[in-house]
Amino acid sequence: MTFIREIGRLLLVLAFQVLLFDHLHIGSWGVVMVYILFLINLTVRIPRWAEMLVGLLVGLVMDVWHSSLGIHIAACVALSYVRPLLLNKAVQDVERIKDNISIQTIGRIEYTKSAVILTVLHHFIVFALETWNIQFWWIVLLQTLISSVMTLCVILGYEYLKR
Amino acid sequence: MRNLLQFIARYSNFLIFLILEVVAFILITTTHQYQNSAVWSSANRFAAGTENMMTTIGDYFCLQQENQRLAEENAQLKNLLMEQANQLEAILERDSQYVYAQLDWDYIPAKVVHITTHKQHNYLTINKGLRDSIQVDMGVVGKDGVVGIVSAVGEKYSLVVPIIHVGMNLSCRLQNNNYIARTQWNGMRHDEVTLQDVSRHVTVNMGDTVVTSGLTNVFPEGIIVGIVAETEITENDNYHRTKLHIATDYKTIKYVQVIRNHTPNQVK
Repeated sequence: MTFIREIGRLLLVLAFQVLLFDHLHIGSWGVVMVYILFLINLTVRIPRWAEMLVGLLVGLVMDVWHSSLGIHIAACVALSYVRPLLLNKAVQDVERIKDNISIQTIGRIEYTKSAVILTVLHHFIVFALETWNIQFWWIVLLQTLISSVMTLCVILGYEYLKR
Repeated sequence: MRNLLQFIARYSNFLIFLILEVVAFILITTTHQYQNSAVWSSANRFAAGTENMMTTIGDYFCLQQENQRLAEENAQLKNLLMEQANQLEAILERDSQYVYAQLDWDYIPAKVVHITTHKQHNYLTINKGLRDSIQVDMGVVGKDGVVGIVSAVGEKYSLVVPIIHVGMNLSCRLQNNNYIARTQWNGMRHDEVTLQDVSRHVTVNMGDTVVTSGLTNVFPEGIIVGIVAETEITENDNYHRTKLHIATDYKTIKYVQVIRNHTPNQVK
């Protein structure tokens, strides 16, 4: 049952990404990559190797859509590797977490903190690999900054309003 | 041996992470440049199909402008046709070989299903593929000028690399002195490319037209690439630093034509 629900969430978030958010961008500076919400909110009961494979799968779908095979995979796998390390403490404190990670289950501060770190990490990898030119480092940083703010506005906005 | 197994067991997650990242890097390095596969890109039937559906829905909202634009283009083409017919008659009398050279090309109309302009490696997806006899390395033009080159072909859709792709070099020439150069995109603005290899001794002026060179069989000679927007040269430079305003507007492009060459010996 959980499995089916997760698949449903994945499809929903991917649909939002490719049908809506891919078409909203500020030049090449601000891109909204809201699909990582699925990876951030993924249940903690999943084993770590499986989590990384899920990251690979989600990254692959995005890469096929963006004709950029490998870039989103690298970023999503890194995000999936780092997430349990970040959440370890928060999750240990609260034994009752059965479902997905959200503001309700791990609290405002913990959630915001991990969402910010994971989003910045993911966006930085995407832009760094896409540009792949040390000469343009400041462009990569600026893109990461602007896009992270945009993505976080959507993700945190959604999480805070969800209730 | 036991130590090794212990090591693997202890760091298994990190090893999986490393392996997956290596896989990603291999994928990036093998597919990133120019060539791309039709299955693992947006020329894939499912991805292109969805984008096609979205474009179709979006099209309904701007039918009126589109009609207006088509009517204008129609009128232009009619004028051009008359002009060409007159010219053709004159040329036929004089030199029939030239005319046959022009007839070596034909155009396959296609619609842009999906386009990105905000990345370093931009692509267009068009709604024609193998079954419309599209092949890799065919040239693509729009109503204003050069658009790009086909890089991958699927059954129903194809992927096109535009001039605004950091891996793209297009052979072109300055129209007024026939000097050969090439375009190169620096990944910044979607309406601007730099013109490389223009030596010191060549005169370049603002507003000069740059057209395809005709040295390759991808494009016929003389299709507009862009107009010189900015050019400078300092004491120490061997080459002009020239920026080109691209004739094609990638933000609004909707319809393109794929160019097919009939000559048997293809020079790429």
